[in-house]
Amino acid sequence: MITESTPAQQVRLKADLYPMTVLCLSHPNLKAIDAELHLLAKQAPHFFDQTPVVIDVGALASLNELDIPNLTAMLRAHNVYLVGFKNVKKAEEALLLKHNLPLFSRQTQKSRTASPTPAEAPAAAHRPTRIIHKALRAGSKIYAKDSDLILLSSVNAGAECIADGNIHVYGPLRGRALAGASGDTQARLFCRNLQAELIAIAGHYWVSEAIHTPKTPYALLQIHLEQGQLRMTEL
Amino acid sequence: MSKIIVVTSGKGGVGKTTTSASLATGLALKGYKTVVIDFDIGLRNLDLIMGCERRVVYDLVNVIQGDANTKQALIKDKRIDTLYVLAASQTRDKDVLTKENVGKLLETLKKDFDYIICDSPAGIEKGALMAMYYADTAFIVTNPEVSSVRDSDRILGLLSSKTRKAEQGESIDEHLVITRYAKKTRARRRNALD
Repeated sequence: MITESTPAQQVRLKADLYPMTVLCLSHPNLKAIDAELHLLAKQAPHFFDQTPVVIDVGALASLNELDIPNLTAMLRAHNVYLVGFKNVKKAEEALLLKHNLPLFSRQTQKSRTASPTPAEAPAAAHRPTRIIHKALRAGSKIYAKDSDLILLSSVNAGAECIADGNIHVYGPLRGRALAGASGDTQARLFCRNLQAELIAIAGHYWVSEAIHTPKTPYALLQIHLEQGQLRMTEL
Repeated sequence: MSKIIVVTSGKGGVGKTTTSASLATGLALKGYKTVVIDFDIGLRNLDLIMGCERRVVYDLVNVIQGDANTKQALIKDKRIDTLYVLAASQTRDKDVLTKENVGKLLETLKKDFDYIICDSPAGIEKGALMAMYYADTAFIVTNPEVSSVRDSDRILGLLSSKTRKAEQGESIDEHLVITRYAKKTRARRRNALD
């Protein structure tokens, strides 16, 4: 039997999450932007592949300076599709309506002073160091945001200790330790009894198999990142 | 002041029910009025170990849901008159337990008993969490082997974070009970290595 679907079933609203490429502009000069994109295409020919892009105009003096129709056409020639803008001044939001483009975010106090380069070195750890006295039990997770982490007791197998800064473990390290979690490649890991399941600094990791046994047992070890490679030194 | 003791482990089959039964019997023999409660709803076995499986009329779930009062559900041990058993339900599941109704039950029992022993089910799900929530003391039963040790460590983590005492900033009195330690096997193995 064929039943007519009710109007309510024709449209379903769902929440979904997508990573989005952001193009930060420091000037409205289309010719210069075009040249830079040509250069990028030479180095990485398939970098843009019908990529939707949001333009960050926070560094521009005014959105009026930007020739949006020509910008859209120029980007399309590079296989980039302009889908919207971010860091738009409140007074200029109406401009977007005129060009039928959505606003992804308004300019806030913070974004006004943001540097135009997308990759920014994360702020150095500035919160006071977190000190943990008790053993970190299996299944527990500690995240020291913007600070160093000192564990006076053990990190048991199945536990995780994460810090944006350095990590010092004075008891046996049997679980996972991730230093420089927000990308600080200068972060270091210090430990005395390394039996970890996994150690990492700024995303570069060693699983337990890859960890070399130190020459002196129970030596004080320092693990740091050197040119993208993890290095272990005995102190 | 009554004390609530939880016998837990994380890992299954390590000897929680056996330990709960022995502990309860020992305390009762010393003269303390003791009740041992089976929190393993759906897979009850405390009544089997205590030898009262043929006398279960009402169980923990009946009491919680108000079908019976504690006096009707508690089974008095035939050999020791200070020892009582509250069996779990065999047909229901742990979803009937909530912090509030378990709390209410324990408050009622506290009036009449010196020691309340909660035999936790295995795992870290609701049954185990309910059994440990109101505990003052915990006995963590562990076998001398890797998985049991890892699971017991996990349980210790939960005891220091998901219990009433932890929420109030105090700590539960934790004790380790090692079961299934085979002295003979260890000695034999040691001799083989020599």
